[in-house]
Amino acid sequence: MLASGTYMLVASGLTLIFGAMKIINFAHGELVMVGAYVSYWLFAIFHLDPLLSLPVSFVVVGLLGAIIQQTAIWPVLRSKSHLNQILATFALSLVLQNAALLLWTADTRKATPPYTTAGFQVAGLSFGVPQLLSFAVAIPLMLGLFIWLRRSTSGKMIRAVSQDPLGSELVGISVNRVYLIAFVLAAALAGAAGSLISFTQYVSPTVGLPLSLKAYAIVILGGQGSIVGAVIGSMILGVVESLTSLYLSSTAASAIAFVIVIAVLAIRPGGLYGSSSQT
Amino acid sequence: MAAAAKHSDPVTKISQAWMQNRSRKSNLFLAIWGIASVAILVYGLTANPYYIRIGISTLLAMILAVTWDMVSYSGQLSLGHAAFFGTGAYVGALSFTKLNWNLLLSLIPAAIIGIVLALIIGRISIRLQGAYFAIATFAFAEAMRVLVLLASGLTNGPLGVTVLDAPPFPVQASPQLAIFVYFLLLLEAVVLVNVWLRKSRWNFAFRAIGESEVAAATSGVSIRNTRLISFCISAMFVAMAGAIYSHYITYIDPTSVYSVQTSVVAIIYAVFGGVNTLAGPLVGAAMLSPIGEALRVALGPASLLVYGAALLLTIIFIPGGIMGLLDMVTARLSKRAGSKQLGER
Repeated sequence: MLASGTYMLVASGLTLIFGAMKIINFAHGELVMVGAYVSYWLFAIFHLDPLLSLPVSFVVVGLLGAIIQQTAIWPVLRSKSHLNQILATFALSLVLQNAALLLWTADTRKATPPYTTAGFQVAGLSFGVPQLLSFAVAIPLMLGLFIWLRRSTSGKMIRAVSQDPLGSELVGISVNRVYLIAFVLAAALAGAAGSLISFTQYVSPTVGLPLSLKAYAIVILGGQGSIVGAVIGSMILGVVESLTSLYLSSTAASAIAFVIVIAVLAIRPGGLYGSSSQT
Repeated sequence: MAAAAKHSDPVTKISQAWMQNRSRKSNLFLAIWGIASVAILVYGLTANPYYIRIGISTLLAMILAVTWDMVSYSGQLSLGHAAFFGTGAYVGALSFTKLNWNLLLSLIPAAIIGIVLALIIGRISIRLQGAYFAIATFAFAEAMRVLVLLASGLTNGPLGVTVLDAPPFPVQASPQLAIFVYFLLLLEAVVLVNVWLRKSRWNFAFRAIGESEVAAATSGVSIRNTRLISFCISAMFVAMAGAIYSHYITYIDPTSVYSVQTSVVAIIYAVFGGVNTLAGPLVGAAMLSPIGEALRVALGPASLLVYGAALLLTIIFIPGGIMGLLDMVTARLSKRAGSKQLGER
């Protein structure tokens, strides 16, 4: 259940990108993976606590996001071809994943700060300290994102573009700049999620893929383009997953996200929190 | 009324010319493909085992690419090829281990189950658009993998299934050559059905949907049925390819046959060669698959890095793929030739 904190960061980034640019970033999980490696290596080389290196991954992956947006996303965004937009982010995920495989091999790695194995029990439920910490870090980040979107000029611009790109351009908002801001912010959040993952689970080049899928499940569950929906969706997925692994098996729990995707798309293509008119 | 009919004449003329041009193109394609098929067969008969293996993986790549393009032709991007490929492989393997059926017999249940699975997936996801269809099919493929893992009573779970069965063949030949011939026959069927799909009235439905769904729907084209048909045909062939593959590779497990990579490479070949063309997916697979083999030797599993980069560069710089590039070059050449003639006059 506490995993939902990480899910929130990943899913809200995906939502930001989808909201602003109307594309689904298939490489989002790979950005998380890069963030996780940043934290892992900083821990392995400098013994830096992943919680302290979180700002570093935030910035590094944000910069990577800027590069990606400028070189790969922008050309296909202009071409307006849906097929190419999906394929471009998909190709990106292949490139990032296999570059990581080439650089850092398929070995699974984990940052092990002193509190890795700590845990305690409350009312018969066991809590791991790392999981609790990751949740505790994710919540303020989410709150910050929420307030930033509401209050700051850039946040308001993102929301305006999400609602109506043409109208935003008419009132003098540079849509391209908003795209860049949204993508960089989403990538940075993914990087932060990566830091949280580096000490709660094993990191490998393929760690991003299941996370991407879960994030789609959440975004679809929460209604596309809604940050509140992403938070609610993350909570639901976290609870359902832990219940499934408790009563069935962990293999079944890993598939529950896909079942949710299929079920929600079948019953309510607009998502639970979104409008049902979307098909 | 007669006047009205006359007024529509230019339009009819244009569409007739377009049709003629199209059928000329597909005739040219069939002629070249006929020669290529003979060349492939000769290659298979003369090559040594190592090159036969490369030939087999190239044929499989071609099948995957063309069948993926069938779905994309109706405007849908599928990431679910692995679902059909893996299921076909398991049907092929299990019908040998449980029922002692040979490869040819197992193709029948593989084809049927492929269609049934496509109907189930299609009923739910076919109305979804763009990225949602892609995600839904992706989720289905992953869900199928986990389902096969969990149903260990039937499928042996993560331990996989071993198929040690020489494929039946009318004349004395190595099992590899037999597999090569079966893949080639399947590819012939795939290509011919693909040509037929594009010449039949479905072709117009597909194109209309591809251009504008709303316009197609208002002119009475059933988007749902059209997409479902191409999805089912594609799934049937992929499942059959999976069944042959299981007899070729002799050992399958959920991770290897339901690999995301199967869905991915099909897309890369098709996009690189040129989507929605007859020859594009074939050309793309024929060019990239052998290169992929060589890269796998050099780079190991990270060879997908090069594939991903190739895909990205193709999309950004030559969105039409190799065939689009070819079209552009011929158009430019004929334009130059045309202006030359004008100049001489």
